[in-house]
Amino acid sequence: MTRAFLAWLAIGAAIPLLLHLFTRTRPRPRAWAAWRFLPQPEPIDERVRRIDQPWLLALRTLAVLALVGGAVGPTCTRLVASELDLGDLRNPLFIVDGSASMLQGRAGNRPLDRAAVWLDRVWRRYNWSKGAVAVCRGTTADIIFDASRATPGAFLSALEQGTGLGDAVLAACAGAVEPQTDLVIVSDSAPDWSGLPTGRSRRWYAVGQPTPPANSGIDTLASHIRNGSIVLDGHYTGTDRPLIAVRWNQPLRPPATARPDEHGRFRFELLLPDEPGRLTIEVRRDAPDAAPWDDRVPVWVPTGGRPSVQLLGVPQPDEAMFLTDLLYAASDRLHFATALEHDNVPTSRTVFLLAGQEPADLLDTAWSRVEAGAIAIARPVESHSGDPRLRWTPGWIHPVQDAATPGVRPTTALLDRWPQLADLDWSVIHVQRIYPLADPLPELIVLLETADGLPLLVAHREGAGEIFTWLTDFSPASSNLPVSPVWAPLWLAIMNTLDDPSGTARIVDAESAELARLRDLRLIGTAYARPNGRGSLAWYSATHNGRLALYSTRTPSGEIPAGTASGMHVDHRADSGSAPANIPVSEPLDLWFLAAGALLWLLQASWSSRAGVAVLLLLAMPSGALADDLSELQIWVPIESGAAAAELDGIAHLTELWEQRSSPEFSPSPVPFRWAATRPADPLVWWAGCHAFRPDRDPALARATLDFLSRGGTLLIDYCGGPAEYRQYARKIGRWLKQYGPGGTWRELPGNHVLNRTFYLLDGWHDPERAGRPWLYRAGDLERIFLVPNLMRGLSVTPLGNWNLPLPAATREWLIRQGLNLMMYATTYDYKDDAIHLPYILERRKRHR
Amino acid sequence: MTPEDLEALLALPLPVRARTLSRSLWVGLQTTRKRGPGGTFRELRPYDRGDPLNRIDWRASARLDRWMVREDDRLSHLKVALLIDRSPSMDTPDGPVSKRARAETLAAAIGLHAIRQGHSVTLLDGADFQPPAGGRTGRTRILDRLEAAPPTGRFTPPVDACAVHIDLVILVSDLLDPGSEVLLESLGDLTARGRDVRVLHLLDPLEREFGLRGPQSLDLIEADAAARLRLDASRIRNAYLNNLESFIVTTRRIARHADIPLRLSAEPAQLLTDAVFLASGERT
Repeated sequence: MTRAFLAWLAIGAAIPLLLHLFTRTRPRPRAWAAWRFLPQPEPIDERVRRIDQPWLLALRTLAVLALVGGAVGPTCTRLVASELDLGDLRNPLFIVDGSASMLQGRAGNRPLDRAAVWLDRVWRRYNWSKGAVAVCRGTTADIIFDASRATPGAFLSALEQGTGLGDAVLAACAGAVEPQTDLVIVSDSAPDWSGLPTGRSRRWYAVGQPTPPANSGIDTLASHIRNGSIVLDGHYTGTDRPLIAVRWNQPLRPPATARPDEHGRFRFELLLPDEPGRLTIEVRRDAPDAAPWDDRVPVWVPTGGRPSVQLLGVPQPDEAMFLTDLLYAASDRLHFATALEHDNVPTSRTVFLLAGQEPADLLDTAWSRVEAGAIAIARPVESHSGDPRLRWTPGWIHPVQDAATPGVRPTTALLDRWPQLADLDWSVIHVQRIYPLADPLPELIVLLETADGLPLLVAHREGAGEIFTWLTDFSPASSNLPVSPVWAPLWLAIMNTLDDPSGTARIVDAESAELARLRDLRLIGTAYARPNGRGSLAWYSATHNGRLALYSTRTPSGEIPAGTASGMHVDHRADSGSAPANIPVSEPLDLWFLAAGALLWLLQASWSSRAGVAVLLLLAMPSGALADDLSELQIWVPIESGAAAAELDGIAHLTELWEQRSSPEFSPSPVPFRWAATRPADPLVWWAGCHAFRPDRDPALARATLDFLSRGGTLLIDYCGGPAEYRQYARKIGRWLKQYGPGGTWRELPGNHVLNRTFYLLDGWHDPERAGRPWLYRAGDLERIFLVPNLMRGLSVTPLGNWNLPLPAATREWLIRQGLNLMMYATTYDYKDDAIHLPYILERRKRHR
Repeated sequence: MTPEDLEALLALPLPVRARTLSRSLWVGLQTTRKRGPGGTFRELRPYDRGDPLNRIDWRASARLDRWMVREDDRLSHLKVALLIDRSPSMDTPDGPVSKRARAETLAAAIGLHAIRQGHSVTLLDGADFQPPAGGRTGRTRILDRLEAAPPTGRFTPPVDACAVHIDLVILVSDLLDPGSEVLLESLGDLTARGRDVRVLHLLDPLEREFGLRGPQSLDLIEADAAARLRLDASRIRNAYLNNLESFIVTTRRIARHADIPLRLSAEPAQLLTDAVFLASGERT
């Protein structure tokens, strides 16, 4: 450790101690008369209080030490085992570059400091009692270190700065040693070994940010990877060779003698130092002669492994179901899926979903991958019209036609390609809207067509890749494709067209320790993100060679792993045919988890990344200040009820209206869940009564339902059948509830029920013959099961904005008010007395003042 | 009045600060809802059966083409009851600017002011009722009562007795007693019976704004059982303010329904404004 590091450490460690001592002073007891307004005035457990302070101290100390560690740079950087492994050295001589370039940077962060740390570690590892360190500071090598007197690191730290050294001096130093010496050069520039005497072993330990000499070859590149100057960033294959892609982030020059191939590509071969086999980097420049080679060249190197899916552009809300279904259908095949951004790593083994809002640069990236073998899935949208490469533009395709076509049949082209799909029942597909081809390309292959002969799915090749174009959009209003049983097999077949050159791909469970064991990828936890209601995946974070990356995945079984507190997973394929549109994510990103990840990252990150991480850590320091961020209320939808898209849309519409008409914030995305797997976190569960009620359903469901009700939850059963079966449906549910819970009876909700006063003052029931009249299940004190007819369906709209259920305007308004009252009743009991709106109103008044 | 002025005022002996404050009030500020002959004109109202014929305003009746009766404020001395909450909850915060110090100063000032105008006053800080008295006797009683030790226990004033003997009831309290809503409602009964009632709701700024931060240790005053709470004030601040705001809204609603002028005073430096409100019943 250098003195600078120790100084930093001392200062840093003093900060949390002072903070702790300052804040742990006991508050003076204060007489308090207004105690009736204190929420839940329960005394704090003294044992908890006593333990809280040391934990606080420990956390603060850790955070500050991490900051200090980050500030002093590579002095405390973890050295991987391969860096310390020098093999069999018998008579080593370490030549340390003492030139000015080794002393540039902040104290503790200089290449010489890293050399000192490395040398100390190596010294201890080999337990050398003798040996030598030569520091080149002139034109000759001075062997000026004696291992018996001090550690080499401390010795180096005490050295004065040298000046004016370079490769030639290094070579001179090396040339001055005995021929049989094992030579190890520690320098920030690659040594030129030519002209040196042949020794037993020659090694170069590169520090700092060395610039490779031109045409220095494989060794230089390998060294760059080893010391981190090449940023390895990309997908994890789960194979023995963990890299699926390498991003070259440094100037990359082809050898002077290299000539591009017929595709304009240069090929670099790269030996990974600690991995068997070799990587091939292919660099393609459109104009290699015109473009300089000293800029950063992003190179994506496919090396096998599982393909990925990347969403390109911003999907429309109604496409969420399609996209998420596609990902889930193919997730046995795919490794991960995420939105394509500038820092992500597309490969030629990627399925791009072109959603219609692609930035031009991302489209360029994706297109180059398609030409190299990737797959793109597209559909006709207006926003594609600006790019001549995307030929499914309105000029190519007729305007929308309402097809109302029952049945879809596969063509011989599809069956020849994927014979296993012949057994599927394609007639279950109904297409309501189609975009007929106007001027199809000659090389276009029709894979699916409607019963009327209109092409529905076409494919054409683009370079080595292929583009599949749906001639319908992905809205559920246009077809039932995403929920049909042919969906998953079709996509799996398409995914299989992505070759797997390694042949060793296997599924890596994101939550298993297996992933964490793989080299350079350290799984640091699991978190779940809330994706703005557009469907989502679970995300996990990992550090990969010093870069913090967020990856997405899903749990293999689709069930909640035991002990997982941070979120939930629902694999809704089991309910295909009535799948809800969104994959639920119930918890926000855990900030402590982020802080832990950032801390790990900090220890390995480059200097440019540390400032942001420091801010993250500081944010995470005050415990609890940012932890409870669940401010939005949500409606929970049990999956087993078989919710239809229209009703889910009605919920979203109702919550939107609630936000407009009242003060509390409400999430527009309902949360699908399973009774058996989780317990709703919000007090309103909406149960779709759109299918025949099965009284023989699992008793565990009834117990979970009653448990939810006993905790103050409200169950809203939204009957969406005809009026004739309304009463019968209620009786079935009543019998079922009576079988497992307290016996009760249905009764029509009286007009003066409190439900009619929770927000809107409703006078009785409006038009009960048409809108229906709510029922209430009474069982002793339990009065929290409501049965309403066609509430959400009455509030749902089609994608074109029309109401799904024709009702008079007054009836619709009454439905809205009844729905809002229900939500208020369930979530606040008494909106006005709870005064939950006061903070919002006060805030609003403050803003307008 | 600056906070420094207030501290200087409250540091004076009670009779001195009462006189100082009462001299700032205008004589005649006191109003009453009692109507009767002989005073200043108040309003015209339609004739009702039983009204004396000599109260008919003939010119107005001719102008409006209906019988109108002239109403004056009655000229008579008032009987004023000062219901002063001196319970332990009023002792917060410690120091010269406690709620009790503010309430006692206001009570003494309003009492002297009323007596100076010829009214008779009684100060009630417990369950006992004392008839009002004027002049030197009334003044001595008020000051003696306020300088005596405050009663222990909760504040339960004899509101029913006031309904019989009192014309104007002035309540100064923090309303933190659990029965404060009932007290307000019973005062509403007095207004329904033609009595004047004014309520000054005193709160300490710390109680109103909850300016506490971080870990706090609170001794609960007037709780059912003596208790000391350790809590994180920063975490509960929003919930506390919500609860308090809800309570204030409730008390205001009760007062409005009972036609009782109510003023919330959480700013000690506005002592003079509070006194003007108590004297006139109107907010300034």
